Amino acid sequence: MDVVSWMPFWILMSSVVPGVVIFFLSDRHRGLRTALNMGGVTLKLILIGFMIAGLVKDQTYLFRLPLLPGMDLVLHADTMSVLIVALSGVLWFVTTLYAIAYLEDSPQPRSRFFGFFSLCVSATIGIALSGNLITFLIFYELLTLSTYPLVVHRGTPNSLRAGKIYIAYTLTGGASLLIGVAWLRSIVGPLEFVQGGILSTWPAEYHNTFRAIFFFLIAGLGVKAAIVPFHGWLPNAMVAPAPVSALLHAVAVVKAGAFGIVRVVYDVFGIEFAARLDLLAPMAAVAAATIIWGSVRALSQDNLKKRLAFSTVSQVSYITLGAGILGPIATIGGVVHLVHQGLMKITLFFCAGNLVETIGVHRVSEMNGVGRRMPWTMAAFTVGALGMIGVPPIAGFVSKWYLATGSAAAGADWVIVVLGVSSLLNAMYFLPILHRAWFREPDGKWAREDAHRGLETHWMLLLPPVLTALLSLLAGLLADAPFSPLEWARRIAQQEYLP
Amino acid sequence: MNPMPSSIGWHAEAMLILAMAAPVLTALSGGIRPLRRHVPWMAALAALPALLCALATPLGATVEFSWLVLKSRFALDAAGRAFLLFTSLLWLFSSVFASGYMARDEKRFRFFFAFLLAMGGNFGLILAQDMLSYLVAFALMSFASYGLIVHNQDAEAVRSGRVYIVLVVVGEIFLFSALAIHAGTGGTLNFQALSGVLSAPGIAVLLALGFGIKAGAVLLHVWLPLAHTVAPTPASAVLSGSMIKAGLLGWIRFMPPGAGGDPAWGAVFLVAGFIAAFYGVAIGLGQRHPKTVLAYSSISQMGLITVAFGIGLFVGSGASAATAGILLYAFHHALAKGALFLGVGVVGGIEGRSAKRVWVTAALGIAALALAGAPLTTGAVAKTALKTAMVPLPDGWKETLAILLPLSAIGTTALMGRFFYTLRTYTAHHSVSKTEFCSWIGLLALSATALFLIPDGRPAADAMLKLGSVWLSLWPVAAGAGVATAVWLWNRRTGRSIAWCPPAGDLLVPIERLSGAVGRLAAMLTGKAQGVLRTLTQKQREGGTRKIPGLLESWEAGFGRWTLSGLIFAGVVCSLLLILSWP
Repeated sequence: MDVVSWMPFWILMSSVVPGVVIFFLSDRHRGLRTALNMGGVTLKLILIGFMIAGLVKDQTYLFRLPLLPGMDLVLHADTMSVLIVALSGVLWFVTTLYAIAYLEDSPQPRSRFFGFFSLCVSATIGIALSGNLITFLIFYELLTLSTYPLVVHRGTPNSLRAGKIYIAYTLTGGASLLIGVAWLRSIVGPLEFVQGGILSTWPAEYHNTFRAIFFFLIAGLGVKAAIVPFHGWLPNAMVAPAPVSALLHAVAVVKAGAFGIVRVVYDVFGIEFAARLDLLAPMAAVAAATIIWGSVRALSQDNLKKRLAFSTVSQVSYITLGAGILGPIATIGGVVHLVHQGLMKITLFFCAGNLVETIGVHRVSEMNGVGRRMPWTMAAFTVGALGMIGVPPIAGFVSKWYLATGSAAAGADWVIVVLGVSSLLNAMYFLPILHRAWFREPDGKWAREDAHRGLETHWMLLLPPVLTALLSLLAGLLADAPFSPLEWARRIAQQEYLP
Repeated sequence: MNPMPSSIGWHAEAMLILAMAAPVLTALSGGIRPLRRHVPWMAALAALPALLCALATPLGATVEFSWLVLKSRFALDAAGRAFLLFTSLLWLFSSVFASGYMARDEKRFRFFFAFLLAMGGNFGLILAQDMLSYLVAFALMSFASYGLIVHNQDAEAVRSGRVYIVLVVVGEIFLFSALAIHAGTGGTLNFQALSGVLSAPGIAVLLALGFGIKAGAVLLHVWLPLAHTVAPTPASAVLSGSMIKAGLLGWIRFMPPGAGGDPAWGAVFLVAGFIAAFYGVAIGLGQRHPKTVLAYSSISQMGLITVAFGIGLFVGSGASAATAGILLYAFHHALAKGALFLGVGVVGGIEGRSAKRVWVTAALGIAALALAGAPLTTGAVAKTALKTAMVPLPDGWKETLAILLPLSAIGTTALMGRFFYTLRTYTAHHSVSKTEFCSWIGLLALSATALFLIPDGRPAADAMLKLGSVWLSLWPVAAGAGVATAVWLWNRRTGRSIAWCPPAGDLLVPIERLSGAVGRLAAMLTGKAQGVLRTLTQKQREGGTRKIPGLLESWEAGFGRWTLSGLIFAGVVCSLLLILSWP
C-alpha cells in the first residue's frame, strides 16, 4: 500500500466523506455544511494538483481492489482521466459556490441536496479515474442513482415526472451497457483500458461478436450522452434547480456518456481496429444526425433552459463525431471539446439560473433588455453563446477547427458541411437572445426583484459564470500555451496513434 | 520567413501590438464604472497608435505569439502599410466626429464599445500575417459592427441588422470551411508561403464568396445599402470606407496571383467587378436617402477595385501596377467616401435653406468630384493608376475596359448628382456641433490632398497631370453632370419623375418574399402531415401547436415510446441468445 500511488482513491474520498457526513447534519448547521463542502472541494483540487505534478515526473498512480475473482476495482490516472478529473474538479468548485447561494431560500432540505451532490461528483470522479470497464460500469450506475434525488429535489409533480423519465431512460441504458460489458468480459477476460485498445489481436471470427458488443456499449452510453433517439430525458430534466442542470446534466452526466464512448473507442476497441470493423462511419452518422436534430429542436424552444438542453444534445455529439473520424486531428478536436463544451455550457446554465433567481425570467421572450439590468451575467452569456456558435477566439472555435481540419484530412468533407449547418443553426437560436438582451427595452418591471448591494446579484451567483466565461475565452485565446486543454488533447492523441 | 533585422528593435513590435490593443483596451475599460465617462474622448485618440504605426514603423516589423490561438503572426508589409494608413486616418476622424455626434445619445457607451471593438478588429486584420489571425480579427470586426447597425433600435435598424448578421454568419462559415479544407489537406496557413490562387476550386470559391459578402459583390451585397443607411453617421463612414475593404484585403492576402497569372479567376473578378460597378449606379440612381445613394456608390466603386484585382490575377505576380492601382484606389475611395458620409451628417445638421448649408454642400462637392474622377482630384490619380495597370492585359480585354471605364465614370458622376438631389431635403436628428464640423473639414481637406502627398502616389499623379489624360478624365465627368442636370431640369419642367425607385436592398425584397412563400408552403405541408399523423395515432392535442415544432415534438414523443420498449425487447432477446450460446 503506497500512499502516493493511491492518490486516485484519496481524490475519490475527498468528496465521498464530506458527502456522507453532510447527510447526517440537520439543515440548521449551515456553517458546518458550507465548511465541509468548500473544504472537500479545495482538498480535491489540491490533490489533483499533486497528481498532475506527479504525472509530469512519470509517477504511476494505481489503486486496485479485488471485488470478485478476476474482477478488480481499478482506479488509475492516465492522460485522459487527468483531463476529465481536472475539469470536474474545477467545475465542481464553482458549482458548489453557486449552489450554496442559489439554494439560500429553498424550502427543501439542503443537507439532502448537498449530500447527494457530493456523491454525484464522487461518481463522476470515479468514472474519470476508472481503469477498466467494470469499474467504469459500477461508477456509471452510481451516477444514475445519485443524480435521481437531485432531479426530483423540488418534489413538485413536474420534478417527479422528470425523474421518472430520467430513471427509465438511464436504467435501460445501463442495462444495455451491462449486457455489452458482460458479454465482452466473458470473451476477452479483464477489460483494462489500454491506449490503442485490447481487441485488435483477436481473430476474424470474433469480429461480428465485437460489432454487436459495440452496438450495445454505444447504445448504453449513448443514453447518457443524449444521442438521438435516446435524448428524451435531457430536456425534461431541466425542471431541476439550476446548479443541478448546470453541472450534472450539461457537464457531468452527459460528459460521462461521451467520455465512456471515447474510452470504448480508443482504449477498449482502439480507433484503428474500430475503423477496420467499419464501426466508425455509422457512429459518425448518428452523431451528425444528433447534432442537426438537437439544434433544430432548440430553435422552437422558448424556455431558456430547454433551449440550452437541446443545445447540449447537439454539442455533446461533437465529441462522438470526433471519435468517429479516423485521424489524430479529429481525435484532438473531439477530446478537447469535452473540456471546452463543459466550460461554455456551464457558463450558459449559470447565467440562466441567475436570470431565474434574480429577476424571475424563465423564457427567452421575457428577456428584453436584460443586458441593462444584469450586464455581467449577460456578458458571460454572450461569451458562452458566441463560443457555441464557433466565433473565434473563444474555445468552441478551437474544437470546431480541429474537427473540421481532421475531417478534411480524413477525406470526410461531409462533416464540414454538418459543422457549417450546425454553426448556422446555433447562430439562429443564440443570436436572437443576445439581440433581445442588449438591443431592446424591457417590457415592464421584472417578475422578481432581488436587489443586492451594488452588484446585480449575489456575488456567489455572479462569480462562477464570469469565471467560467473567462476560462472559455482563455482556453481558446491561449490554446497553444503549454498547459491548455488543447495541449493535453494533443498528448492523448499522440499516445493513441503511436504504433 | 525573413528574420527581423536587428536594427528594428523592440519598439517596432510594441507599436504593432499597441496599434491593435489600444482600441480593444479602451472598449474594455468602459466596463469599469469610473472610467466610463472618459470613453468618448479616449475613443477619439484610440486610432492614433495605429496611425503612428503606419507612418513610422519600418517595413518588416514582426511580432509573433506562438501561444496565441494556434500561433499568431502580425507584421507590417507594403500593402499592410497602405491599408493601415488610410484605415487609421478614417477611424481617427470618424471617432472625433463620433465624440461630438453621440454626445447626447443615451446609449453612447454601447455604441463606443461596438465602435472600438470594430476598430481593433479592423487594425488587427490588416496586420495579420496568418490565416487564423485574419479570421479572428475579421470576426471581431464583423460581429462588433452589428452593434453599430442596430444602434437606433427602430424597425428599420433591426431588419437591417438581421440581414447583416445572417450574411456575416454565412460568410464566416464559408471562410472557416475553406480554411479547414485547406489546412486539413496540408496547406500552409502563412500568407507569405502561399504561391498562387489556391488550386482546389472549392476553396477558392468559398473564399471569393466569403470575402465577397464583406466587399459588397453583387448578389451578396444586399446587406450593404440597408446597414450603411441605418447606422449612425460616423459608423456609416467607417463601414463604407474601411470595413468594406477588409473583404478586398482578404482577397489580396488569401488569393495572391501566381507567377504566371490565373486567367480564369482573373476573368471572373473582372466581370464581377464591372457588373457591380454598373449595378450599383443603376440601383443607386433611384434611392431617396443620401446615405443609401452613397452606399450604392460604394458597391460601384468596390466593383472598380475588384476589376483591378481581377487584372492582377489575370496577369500574374509581375503585375505590381495592378497592386499599386488597388492600393491607390482604395486609399482615395476610403477618404473621399468618409468625407461624403460625414458631410451628410454635417449638412443635415444645418438649418435648411440657409446660406451656410449651401456653402457646406458646395464644399462637399470637392469630395464628390474626387469620387467621380474629375481632373486634378485624387480620383483622377486613382483612375490613372487603374489605366496603367490595364497595360499588360491582352488586347480584347484592354479595349473592353477602355470603353467601360469612362462609362462607369459617367455613371458615378450621375450618381453624385442624385446624391446632392437627395441631400437637399435631408435633415439629421440634431444640429451640427463644432467637433463634428472641424473633424469633417479636416477629413475633407485630407481626402483632397493625401494621395498627392504619399510617395506611392507620385508616379500616378505625374501621369495624371499630362494634358491628354486631363481631357480623358474631364469628359466623362462633364457628360455625367450633363445627364444629371438634364434629368433634373426635365423633372422640374414636367413635374414627373423618370426615376424608378427600387427599395434599398433591391434583391432582398424578392428574396424575402420568396422565403416567406416557401415557409408558408412548408407550414402547410407539415400541417397536413401532422393532421395525417394525428388521425393515425388518434391522439387529440388541444390548442394550436405551431406546425413544424409541434410535428417534431410528436415525433420525439414517439421515439420515447419506441425507444424504451424497443431497447427492452432487444435486451431480452439478446440475453436469451447469450444464455443459449453459452459454451
